[in-house]
Amino acid sequence: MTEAEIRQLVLGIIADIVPDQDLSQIRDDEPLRDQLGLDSMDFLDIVMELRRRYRMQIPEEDYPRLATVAGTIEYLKPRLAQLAPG
Amino acid sequence: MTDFDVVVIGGGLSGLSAALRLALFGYRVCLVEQQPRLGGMNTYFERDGKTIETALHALTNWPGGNGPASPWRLILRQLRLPSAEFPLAPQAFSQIRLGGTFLNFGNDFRLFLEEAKRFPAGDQVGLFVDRSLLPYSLWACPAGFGSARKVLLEWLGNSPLLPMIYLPVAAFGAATEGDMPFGVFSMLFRAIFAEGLCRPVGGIKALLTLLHRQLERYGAFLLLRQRVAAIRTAGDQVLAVTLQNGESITARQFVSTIGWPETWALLQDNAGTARQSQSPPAGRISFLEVIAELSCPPAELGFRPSMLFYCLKDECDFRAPSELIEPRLGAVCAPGNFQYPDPASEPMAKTMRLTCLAAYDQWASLPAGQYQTEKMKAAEKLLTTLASLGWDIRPAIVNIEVTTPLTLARYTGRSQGAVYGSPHKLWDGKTPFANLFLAGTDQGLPGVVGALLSGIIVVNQHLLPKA
Repeated sequence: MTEAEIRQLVLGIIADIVPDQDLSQIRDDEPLRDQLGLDSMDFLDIVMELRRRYRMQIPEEDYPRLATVAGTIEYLKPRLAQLAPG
Repeated sequence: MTDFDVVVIGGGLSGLSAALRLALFGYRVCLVEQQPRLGGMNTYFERDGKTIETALHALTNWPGGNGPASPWRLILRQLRLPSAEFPLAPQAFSQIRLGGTFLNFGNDFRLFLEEAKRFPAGDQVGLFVDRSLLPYSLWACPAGFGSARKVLLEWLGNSPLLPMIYLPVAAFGAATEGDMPFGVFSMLFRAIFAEGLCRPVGGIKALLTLLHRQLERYGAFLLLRQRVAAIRTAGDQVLAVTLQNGESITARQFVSTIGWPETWALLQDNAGTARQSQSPPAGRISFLEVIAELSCPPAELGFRPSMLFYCLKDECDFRAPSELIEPRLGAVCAPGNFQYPDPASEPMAKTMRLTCLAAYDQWASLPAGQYQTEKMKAAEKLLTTLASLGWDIRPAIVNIEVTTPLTLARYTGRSQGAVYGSPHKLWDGKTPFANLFLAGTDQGLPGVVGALLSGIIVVNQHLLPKA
């Protein structure tokens, strides 16, 4: 999966979780918490959504790495590659 | 025999939010509701082409004010509902009447604080809010935290402000007589006075439709018109629920939202023997409600408040009366006096809802032939009381519906028609059974906002895996 594809995936999950927010102006390097007002409950939802869609387990100590879109892409890239068939 | 991940018992607001929360994450969830319609206590029916709501007067926690982050924002997010699909109409103002005096409040907390200053100890209210009221925590269950009356007495003494403040809070969620846990009081005080009141545009039907659609979208299985007849257990595990038609549904986990005494009554060991230990107590706070359909909006009859809370008794104690009803202590709602974008299209705009304390045991022991007569007599008493306060709406009434504690008990299955459930709460949502959790009123969060939050909190804390 390319970074652009992973970015789409991440934004898709966020769009599901916070349907009120306009994501077109999102800046990848700034904390989602500041830009979208996400709180810890919303982060739990992101983690749960990754678990549901990709059967991916994310330990709690890794949550800080999901603070930005860029961080999330970087975190997911090797893990999604492992899941890819073949 | 059917198998699910989770069975949710009861399709009231807490059951709906719990089931939806689970469905969002792909759980195979089955929600069992005995009525043909969702909503439980807060529902509606159609008569002569008109929609008539039950129970809901106003929603608390108006999200448009300057209070702390509204729980509505969190609820909608957690249920993945865009707020644009759930517009809320704020109140104009509401009034508390105590004997011959009154206090107005609105969705700007400063009005309440100003009004309070007209009464003894009024300058203490701001301090009380800052120093004594518990901080707002949406994710912690309120627990007990002692007596609300005791704290209020320390701040307000014998000022009429004490009953004036206590009355709306109790009306929105006291499960206990005479006093209530300070944790619940704090939450409701902020919800009613600091944030304010509103109504969903389109009424409760709009909210239920939204939740129903979302549940279907995420694949929850809704089993309507089916009553759970038994909850079968072995050791500290629930194995299955048995429906009234004899079918069984197994699941890994169970959430009951029907109340703690009501859940208790269904528990059986696997041989079908009921549990012998003592049931938790049923609540005693119930209401009689008159839904008066009018020929014009209430404002045209001179009734301008969105809600009116009144107590005309010498001692304003909130408890089940020794008569059928206590007409001197009640709440009146005029849905038409909320600020809708399009008032004419609101289903309840030309109605008024009059509610007062009522005693289940008194209604239950009436001889069969007297029930209808007593219902109408009670309605007349309530309307007379409202007239004595200066609002005689009787000439404008075109139709009347009356619900009693018996109606509530029959329709919702709640013991003694106790609107806010048992006085015995399970604050953490845990039961003696490892895979059975309690959400809704008897988990301790009252009202529509409380119910929706309760379903979410219990699922987040106990059913979703700890990541």
